[in-house]
Amino acid sequence: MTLGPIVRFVARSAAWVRPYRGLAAVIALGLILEAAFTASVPLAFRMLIARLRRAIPIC
Amino acid sequence: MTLIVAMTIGVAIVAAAGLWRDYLYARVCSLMLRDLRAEIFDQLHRLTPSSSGSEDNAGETAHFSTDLAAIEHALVSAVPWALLPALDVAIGTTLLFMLEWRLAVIAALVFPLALIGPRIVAPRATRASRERKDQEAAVLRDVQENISARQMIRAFRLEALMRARFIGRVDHLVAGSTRTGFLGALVERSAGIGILLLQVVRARHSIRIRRLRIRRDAADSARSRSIAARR
Repeated sequence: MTLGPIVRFVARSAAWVRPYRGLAAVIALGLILEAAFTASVPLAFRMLIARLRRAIPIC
Repeated sequence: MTLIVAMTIGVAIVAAAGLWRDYLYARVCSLMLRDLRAEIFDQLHRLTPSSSGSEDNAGETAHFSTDLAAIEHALVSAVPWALLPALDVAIGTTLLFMLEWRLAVIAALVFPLALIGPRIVAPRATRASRERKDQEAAVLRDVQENISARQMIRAFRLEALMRARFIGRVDHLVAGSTRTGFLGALVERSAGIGILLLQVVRARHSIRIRRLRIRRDAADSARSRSIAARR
């Protein structure tokens, strides 16, 4: 896949976003929060299972 | 218990933030498209009227309908199909390297494998998509021509001829749409096939490591048994 058209589209979109950069920053923060939470869920489950195993040795 | 409570609160916060983010993103997209429409409209008035007439008019109308729809689709799909997966990949890869770097190195092979397929298919898909856009513009041109020359078509009884021409264009569009849809799906599927191949390699690697561990444990226990028997 040639990256040229994608890069051009992203550059053009960045120019369109410029007037709304405040809103874009809030959206970016929301995206980071969402991605961080999605990544942390499996780890949280791992910790939960480890704790359950410690609490109930049969598991 | 604390962990479950923290996870529940986290789910509530992320869901609320996600909904708010969806609303903000939809608003930003609409505002960006409004600016773009105004920009195209201004450009329309800056251009000098060309001699080709209806053909150019149809092209300009297509800029406002099909082209803007394509841009809208790209903008709306950017978050769920590009930004969020990119962030997931970045955070997931970092986490994987922190947890188990050997597994992460194997998992990192997914990047070249997932890119090989789309690299082969994507240029064809892009060409097909461009051809479909041209075919859509041709259909629009036909419709516009028929609307503006309706009286004349009726007077000279050209309905059947015009219909045959229109059906021909629509048939072209069907073939173009099918090709574009199929090649678009192929771009996605070819990346998936690379990922599946990597999973098979990783599964084989895990099985080999597990077998080696079992053999090592068996050898260790046999050795400790023989030492105990000697004593």
